[in-house]
Amino acid sequence: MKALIGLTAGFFLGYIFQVPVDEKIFAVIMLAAIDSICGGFSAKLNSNFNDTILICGFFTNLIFGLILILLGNFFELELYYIALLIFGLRIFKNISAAQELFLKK
Amino acid sequence: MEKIRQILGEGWSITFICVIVGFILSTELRQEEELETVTPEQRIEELSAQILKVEKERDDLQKKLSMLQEEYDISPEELLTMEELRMKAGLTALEGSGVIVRMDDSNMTTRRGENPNLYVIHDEDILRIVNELRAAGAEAISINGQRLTATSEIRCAGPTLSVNNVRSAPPFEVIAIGDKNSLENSIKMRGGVEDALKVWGIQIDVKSVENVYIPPYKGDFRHKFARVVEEKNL
Repeated sequence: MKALIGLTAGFFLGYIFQVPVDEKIFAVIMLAAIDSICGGFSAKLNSNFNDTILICGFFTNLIFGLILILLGNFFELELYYIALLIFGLRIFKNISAAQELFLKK
Repeated sequence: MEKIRQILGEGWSITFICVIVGFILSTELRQEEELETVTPEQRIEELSAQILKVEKERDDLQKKLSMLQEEYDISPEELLTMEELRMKAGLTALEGSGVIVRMDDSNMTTRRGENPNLYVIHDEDILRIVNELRAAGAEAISINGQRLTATSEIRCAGPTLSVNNVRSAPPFEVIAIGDKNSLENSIKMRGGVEDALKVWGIQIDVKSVENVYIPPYKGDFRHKFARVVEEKNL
């Protein structure tokens, strides 16, 4: 429910403030967010969910991803793939962990 | 911050992240919306029907013209005076409404492993521009002050461009006299020359001007191999 409210609020905000986003940055932010949501979900099932930890994790991941993009642009290398790969791996790991916990219950 | 936390309770971080996701999604969707500029099928059919109609009209008029010419027994050659012939050959300076197309090499930095040749202007690019301008009804064209005649060449000469055997380096300025709106549109047409060249970052700037000047052709015409004969029906 809260997630839906957040999504719609973000949608409207994005519609009002038109910010051009680079596709690399788009990909990294998107995956970092999905990763955090999946992490939060599995933590909730594990009953050790903490808002502060989740948001800190999200921002550190995001900032490191953005640094990789910057470095990549500087050296003309596609370094941001690393961030995407790791985020993707973590998403699947979290999903499988959540699934395991769910089935155990 | 504390208040927001109290209102949302546990899980406020998820809400916050969702706000970011929504924000990014909507901006991305909006960008894609702007990119979607495909001409609808119906419009294409409409336009092709219009073209067919106008082509038929043109053919009818051409028939009428040749009928009238036969009637009065005037060949089209006799209609042209000396001055007109000189104008058509490109030997007189001309003035009129038209467009100025300025082009310069790309200001993008070449990425490692990419061919830097892609980012400079070639003879083909100029040829495409000239072709479009002619198709749009340009009456006279000059490139960097060199008048294009029926026998002018446009080709790469090392890093420079050779027109009428005179070399010039970028930036290039193509000037054309004609209906300035249709000339401008012919270059700026969606998916046209300008779009194709802008992919490589080549700077191209089309300006329609009320009065442009085109210099005459200053070289000479040599006809060593060709000779004039009577018209034959092939």
